[in-house]
Amino acid sequence: MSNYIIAISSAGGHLFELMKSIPNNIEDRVVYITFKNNLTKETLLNKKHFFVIDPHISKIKYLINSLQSLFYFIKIRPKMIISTGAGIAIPMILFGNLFNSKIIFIETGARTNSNSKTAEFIYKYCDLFIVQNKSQLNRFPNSKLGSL
Amino acid sequence: MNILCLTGTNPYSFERLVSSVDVVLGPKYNVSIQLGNTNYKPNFAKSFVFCSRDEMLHLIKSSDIIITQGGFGSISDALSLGKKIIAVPRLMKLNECQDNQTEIVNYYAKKQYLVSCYDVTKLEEIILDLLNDKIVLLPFVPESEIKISDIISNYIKSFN
Repeated sequence: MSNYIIAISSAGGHLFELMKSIPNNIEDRVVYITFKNNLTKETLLNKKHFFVIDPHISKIKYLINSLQSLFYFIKIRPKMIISTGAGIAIPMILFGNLFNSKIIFIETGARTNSNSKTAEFIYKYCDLFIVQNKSQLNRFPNSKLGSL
Repeated sequence: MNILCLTGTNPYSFERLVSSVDVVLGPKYNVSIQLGNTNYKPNFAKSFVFCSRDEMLHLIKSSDIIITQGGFGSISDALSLGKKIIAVPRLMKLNECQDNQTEIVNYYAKKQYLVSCYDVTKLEEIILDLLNDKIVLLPFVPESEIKISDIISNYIKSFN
């Protein structure tokens, strides 16, 4: 297992939340994985990063994303995986759980009265689960409350 | 007065918001619209598709009012810069998104951090109310004093 940390999320708001959640003192060990567009290319220009496809709601794309995730997982062998979702991160988190990487998940602050599907699905695999709204604390009993 | 309209990086088009901002506000105010993946070319307002994060923060800073989709990234940026925000959630039933944007918009509206708007024909009315202090907004207060980055940093330290 390497000393690297994978930070994985979809683009837009999720990536914004993810980048704000990474402590400065681990930044040099972090490899970002998201999907590719002009904006993410520019945002991650000076950071270590790889791109995988966005599965959105397609099963075939989930399969491709899983193969890509497995490839990067083996390449990086991360000690830890940090994610803010969404579905793009599920295969990587499952590989991490299977091969003993620590899993940290931050539920998006956009959720206040309901849970994201990704959070519900991967909650049981997480070593550290963080929420951003007090109303989420009872729905995820083992979570910690934090702000960006 | 400078108005900035944001549609974020959402893959769906948000013509309902952009066309209304362009037609109603475009001729009267100094309006810039970030179109993202919206298929509508404004006739009155200035527009661009995407920009870098630094440019975005600069644009937000130099605007008086931000009219934004209900995306968490756009809203957080505008809140952190203390701007007056009108948030128009994309609606799934109109095929404007795949994720629910009403939750965060209603939550923040209730806390008076922003004004929510479901009827785009009311945008100008809301702007005037904001300028006349008929609608009062409160400064954003984070739900926790602890930073997520500190929680993660402490967690990592705990088993080093």
